[in-house]
Amino acid sequence: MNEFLQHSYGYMWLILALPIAAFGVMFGVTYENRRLSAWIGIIAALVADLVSIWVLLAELARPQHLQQGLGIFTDFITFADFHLTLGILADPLAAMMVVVVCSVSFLIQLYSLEYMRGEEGFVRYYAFISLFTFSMLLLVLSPNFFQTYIGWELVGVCSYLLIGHYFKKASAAAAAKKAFLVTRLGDFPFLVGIGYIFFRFHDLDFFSLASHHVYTAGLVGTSGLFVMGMLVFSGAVGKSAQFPLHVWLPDAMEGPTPISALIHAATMVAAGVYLVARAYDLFAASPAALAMIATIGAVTSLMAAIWAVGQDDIKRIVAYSTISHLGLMMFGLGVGAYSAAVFHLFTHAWFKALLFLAAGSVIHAVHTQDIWEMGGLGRRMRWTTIATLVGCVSAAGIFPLAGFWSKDGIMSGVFAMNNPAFIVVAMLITFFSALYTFRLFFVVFTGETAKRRAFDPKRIHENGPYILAPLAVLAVMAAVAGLWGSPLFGHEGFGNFIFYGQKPVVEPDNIPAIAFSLTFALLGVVVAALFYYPPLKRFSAASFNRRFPYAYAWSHNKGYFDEVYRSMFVGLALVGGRAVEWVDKHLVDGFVDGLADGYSLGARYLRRLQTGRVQAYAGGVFVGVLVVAVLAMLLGSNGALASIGGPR
Amino acid sequence: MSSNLIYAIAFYAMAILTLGSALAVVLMRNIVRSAVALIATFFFVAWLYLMMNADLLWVAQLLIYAGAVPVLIVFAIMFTRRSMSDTSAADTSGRHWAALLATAVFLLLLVVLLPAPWHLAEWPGLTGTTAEVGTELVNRYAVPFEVVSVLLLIGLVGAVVLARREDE
Amino acid sequence: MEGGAYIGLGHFLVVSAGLFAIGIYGLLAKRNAISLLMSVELLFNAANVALAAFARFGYGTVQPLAGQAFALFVITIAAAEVAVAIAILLLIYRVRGTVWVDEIDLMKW
Repeated sequence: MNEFLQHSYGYMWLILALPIAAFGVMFGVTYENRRLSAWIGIIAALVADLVSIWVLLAELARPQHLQQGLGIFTDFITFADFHLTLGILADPLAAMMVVVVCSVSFLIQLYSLEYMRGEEGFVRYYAFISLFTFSMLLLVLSPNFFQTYIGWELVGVCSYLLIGHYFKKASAAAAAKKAFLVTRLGDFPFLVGIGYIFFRFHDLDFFSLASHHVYTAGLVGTSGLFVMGMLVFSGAVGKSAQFPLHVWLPDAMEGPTPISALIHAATMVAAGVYLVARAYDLFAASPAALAMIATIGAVTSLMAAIWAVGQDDIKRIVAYSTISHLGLMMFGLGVGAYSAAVFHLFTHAWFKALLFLAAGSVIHAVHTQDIWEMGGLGRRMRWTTIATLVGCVSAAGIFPLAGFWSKDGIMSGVFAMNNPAFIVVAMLITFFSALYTFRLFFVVFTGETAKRRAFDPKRIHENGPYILAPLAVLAVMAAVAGLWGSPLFGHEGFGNFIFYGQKPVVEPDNIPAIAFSLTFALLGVVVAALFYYPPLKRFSAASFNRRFPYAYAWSHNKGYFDEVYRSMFVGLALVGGRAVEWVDKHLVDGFVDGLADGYSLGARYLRRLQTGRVQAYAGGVFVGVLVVAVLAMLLGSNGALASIGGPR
Repeated sequence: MSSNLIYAIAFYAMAILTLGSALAVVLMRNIVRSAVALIATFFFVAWLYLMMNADLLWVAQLLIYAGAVPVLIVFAIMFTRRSMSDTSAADTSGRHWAALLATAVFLLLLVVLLPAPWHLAEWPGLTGTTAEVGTELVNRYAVPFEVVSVLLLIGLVGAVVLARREDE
Repeated sequence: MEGGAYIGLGHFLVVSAGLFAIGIYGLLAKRNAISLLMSVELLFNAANVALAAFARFGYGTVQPLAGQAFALFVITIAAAEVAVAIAILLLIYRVRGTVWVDEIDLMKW
């Protein structure tokens, strides 16, 4: 059995090859055949998924760190002592993430068969999903910063292409552009950070950087490590939509809903958290960097959770939920709860994909995204309702579903820091996430169906098997995935599989932390029920908003970040524009006019050189060579020409 | 006679034949004769390769240069029939300048190449290098090798597209 | 053939330079585009002779037989070049009715 598992490493290249091959086949061969193309993508993702599960089992049986090259690209670029390599990395973290990416990609493609049926650009959509999957896998399986950056940028491009799927719609095109540009703001420091690391350590390989303890060897001082960490972290801030670069993620809702699920659960935003986990040695070497990560994560998580309460668009609520959970993961990584944060990345993928696909199922049925135009869907869409409920309970972190176990690991880590501010923020995050999650659930699925013009509630019906099957799988995962990290598994648990530093003894769960966070989560559910669940309704959200108009407005308008950014940049642009205008009129124009006059004068005579005969030109080339060579001989006595023979 | 002397005699013979036939290529007024001289030049260069233990180059030169390329050139000559008969003015008016320039380049090359401190190394006594060059091509030069194959394909397609008649 | 005591790198380089110069003369002095093409082939051969000579007399100083490998690439590329060049030439002949390069001066001012 063990030997059989070890064979899996030899087939790891399939995980990368299949999605990119599917992409190529779809664009090159089967572009005209919609059904065939879709199934090619689905089968490719399924086989890649099976291989990755195989690898995960092998890692579970015997955790190890393996690296292999990618054929002739093993040494991608080689100068004297400068190697950039491409390769495949197998270790517990990568194996876990690969399974998540492939599974979610597979389920989403299956789901899209029905969700995207008859849409324009169906094959393009499937092809880009395969490319997206490939890019993310390239990033996940990367053994070094260089390949990570390639995957990183590819992921950015794919998200641009897919968010802008309905590119004929102006808002979708704008959202795609925004996502691309905002994440670029983080990518550039990331690239600078990679350069910094390379020029200091002459190495970009994660494993050798970590195993030789180069970060802590004193080559770079404390502040240097902090700067290095922050540069790399900037990339994660952009990709994982952390404050202050979170503004692109809610707008990314313009893409098709399954794409949102893909971006939120497995590919785009997970990349940032994955990067921090992957390069954790760098951050662990700088306590200041960890504190910064924890702070940014906490701020992001809390603000996004509060904003989610004020949203009316079902997809936006889930989007802010993603930002909040990503913030929580960063928070966890920052306070040193490495296993728990990575575990949350794992469980989050399942319940977030579930919530998005369930939201998509609802949207597919009612053709609106406004939660106030839904209501009472519980009776009409039984399966979707059950799936959403599982997702909500899991996301709110309520015992015993997946979200509970990972979230409480992070909470234990936060409590261990003994920092009262962190603990308060963590409890508020827990409270608000339960609140917005169940607000969504109660408003959409309970009570009476909202009256809308030209829409008969009786026409709402449950979706077909291609939509329900992925929901079922994800619901099961969202329910049970957390057990991996529960005491049930003991020494076999997640914390003993993926961890940082020494292999931990089974940590006793922090009972106060669990009790507190469970209490606050339940409190959030109760508050949500009191406001929005008709049988228990005691308060009216409308009167609350009237009494505290500013609170609601701040939340509803996402903290006015878009407005602040817009006025900041537009104001800067206006001031800059005025200055540039003056320079242009008085300096540039005068110069250009003079230049043009000079050119026309010169051209009148110089154009005689353009004889149009190739031989005149060829002769000119050889005369030029002669002149340069003779000059070099005369002027560079022992310089230029002496060196032709060789450097030594 | 020592083998070195035989080698030297063979070299000088080949060098003279090569340069002589190359001169014939550019001095012949009739393009068909030029083409024949060109084949001869390629043929003699092939033997120069063999003298430098480059047996794979020798074969490639004979097959591609002395074999395939002249066929193309002869076809081109036949298709552009006017050039075959008209030998009245094969050279441009600036041929004296061309001769001067060519001589200058020749001298420059000699001045640069001969005194340069080349890294010389003893020949390891290989008789055939085909296997070694082949190994290099598919290992160290695998990527250029593939790129060149793509280039050949592009050249093929490009030539067909260019030479095709509009109405086809 | 145990070494060429009489014949060394320099001898082959002189042949290479000679071929190159002849090629330049042909390139500049001939009027027929096909002749120009043949001259270009001479230039390629000159370069190849030099490359092969470097491989022979500097074995392993850079990489073993790099010169021969390069020469093979040059031959390949030259073959592609001839094919495309002749296609262009035939096209010009069809359109302009001439292969005299001094009559093809569309790019003149």
